[in-house]
Amino acid sequence: MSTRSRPLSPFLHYRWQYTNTLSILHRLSGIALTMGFLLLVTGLVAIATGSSGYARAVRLSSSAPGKLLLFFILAAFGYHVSNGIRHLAWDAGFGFDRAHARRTGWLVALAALAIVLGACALFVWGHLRHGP
Amino acid sequence: MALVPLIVWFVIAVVSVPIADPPSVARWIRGGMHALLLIALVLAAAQHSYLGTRVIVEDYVGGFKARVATLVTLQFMHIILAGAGVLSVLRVALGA
Repeated sequence: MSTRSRPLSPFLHYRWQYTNTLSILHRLSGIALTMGFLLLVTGLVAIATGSSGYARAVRLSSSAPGKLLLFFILAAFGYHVSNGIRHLAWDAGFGFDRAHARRTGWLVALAALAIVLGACALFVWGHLRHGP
Repeated sequence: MALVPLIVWFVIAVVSVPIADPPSVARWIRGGMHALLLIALVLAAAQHSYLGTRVIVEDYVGGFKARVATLVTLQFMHIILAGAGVLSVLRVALGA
């Protein structure tokens, strides 16, 4: 069967704009958070079994790659939660017109940034108070 | 939707509990409603994560075999994760 005559998927010929960027980021951050959920359950299991792996994971998380990983999960969290609330508003039937969608899109980006910066500030503040 | 309040609670917990110290975390789980809320969080997060990754697989994984294999793997993975999470919380909370 020839594949040439088949219609293309929309994402192959639509213009790149803020709507699909935000949508794809929502999916990517969701996948990152599935990894985060894996880490959460691993931590719970380690605490329940008294495994020494937990201490090792804590030590790893203070290394540069560990911090980078946590930062990515944090960024994914900030964005996914903010955009998730936007999705809930959509589910309830609000905010579909273009002006609204654009405004809430920016709002989500700002909220995500605020969450990330807030968490980083807390982290630095903790270091200043208790030492590394 | 239940995830939103649970997430708020969880963020406050992560910030206020010394999470680097397992005995402190265990003590926190044993106190008050925390075990119940943590179990609710694990279940809601597992369900949410499963539905989300499933939609992504259904959108992007072509081919019947690959799709079914990925979906079944996802389903097993989330059931096991949810079960392991709940069992761990119960074990800590009940001190078994």
